[in-house]
Amino acid sequence: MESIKVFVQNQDTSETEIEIPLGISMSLMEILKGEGYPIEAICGGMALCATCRVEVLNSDEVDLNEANDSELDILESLPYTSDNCRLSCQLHISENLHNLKFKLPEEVLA
Amino acid sequence: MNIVGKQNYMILTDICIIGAGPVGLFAIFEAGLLKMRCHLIDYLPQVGGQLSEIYPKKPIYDIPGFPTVLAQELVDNLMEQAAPFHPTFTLGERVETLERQEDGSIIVGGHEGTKIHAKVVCIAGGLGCFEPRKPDLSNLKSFENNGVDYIVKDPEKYRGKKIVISGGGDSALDWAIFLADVCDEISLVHRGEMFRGAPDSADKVKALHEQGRLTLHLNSNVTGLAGGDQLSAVTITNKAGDITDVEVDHFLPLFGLSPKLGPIANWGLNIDKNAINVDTTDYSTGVPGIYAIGDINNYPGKLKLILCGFHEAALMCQSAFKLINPDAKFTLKYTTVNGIQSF
Repeated sequence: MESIKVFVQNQDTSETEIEIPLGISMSLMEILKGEGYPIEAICGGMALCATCRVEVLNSDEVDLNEANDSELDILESLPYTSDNCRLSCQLHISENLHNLKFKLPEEVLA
Repeated sequence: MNIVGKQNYMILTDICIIGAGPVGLFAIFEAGLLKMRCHLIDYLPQVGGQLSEIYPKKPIYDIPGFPTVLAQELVDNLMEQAAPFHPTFTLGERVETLERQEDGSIIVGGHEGTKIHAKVVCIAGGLGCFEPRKPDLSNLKSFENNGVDYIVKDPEKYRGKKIVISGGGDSALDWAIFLADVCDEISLVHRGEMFRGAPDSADKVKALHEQGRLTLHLNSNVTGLAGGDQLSAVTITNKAGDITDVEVDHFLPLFGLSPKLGPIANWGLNIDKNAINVDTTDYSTGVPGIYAIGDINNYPGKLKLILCGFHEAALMCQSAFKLINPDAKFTLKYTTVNGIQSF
């Protein structure tokens, strides 16, 4: 596999497909910023600010890496996360993310 | 630190810097070299911006001359560097208005009534104002200041009262521990199974719970608020769906802070995607006497790096000097030759 596809659910519930080459050392947050999504990601990827949060829509179909303590720490301290929320800065581009479907919560869009 | 503000008198200064993050703090130094005085105003209760608020203990590796420096150390160093120029500060106050005066100067108005009369305004507001994160409760707004508080300003307000705190971070834990001795009844609601933050604080909260001095609701959220003009009860729902109604005088959602552009959007500046467009000659905004430096600005090739903000601060100050002293001849002087001429 040379690339993966992820799907962003837009506010009107349509989906935007993003093809991402494998072998790049980037996080999903960096890909989304590169694609022009207006997420702030103010801490730059340190799992400290939660402004790159995404809501995973098909967690039963993809095998994401487990959230580590620092990610869980920030997610659990937020008022509005569901159990399917992840920090996109902590989702590193790999085959695991193939076919991931997610949406960007309204409050993270700048 | 000279902290002023929340007063009825006018603060006079050469440059009012909105935002006391690293770039705003360095602007004090650059302005000071040109004999311009600065007053800084920031909504956060401390200087340092996101460095102090979000990642004080994280190392930064791209500050020239510092192979590594902790974020808070950098802020402390910037304060030390600025000290010879005796900057003054208004902290914990959000800027609401900019009023142009007939002579071209500007009066900066804070949300608690502070007025700063400045010859020049420099917006170094980073990502905007850090506002409390709010839970998604439909009638939350109607109880703000009528039982719902997002910040503990005076703990005595809660003496003998019944309160519910929501949140699982350090702020929620620390205030729950402190207020357990102040309140008549206190509950802490956390959506998680455990507290991952400071273990000492988590242990203290558990001990208070076991002693019957605090009621702990884990795996739970506050899902409803009730009352007339004043909040009188909150509904707590756990992950199993069990519902508990708790009588309260106050509900404190303590979920940390998140940046919002805030009132900057209303100042008539050229804003695009939450950033102020500037002229890279001097980081002026197009509105006379108003500059924007650091993460709040945008221009072709912009990099949101502290070191770029430092450069912007230097050029902004040269331009502000010419604006404030139109008849003075400007000569670039080096600190190695002239030292620091404090005032």
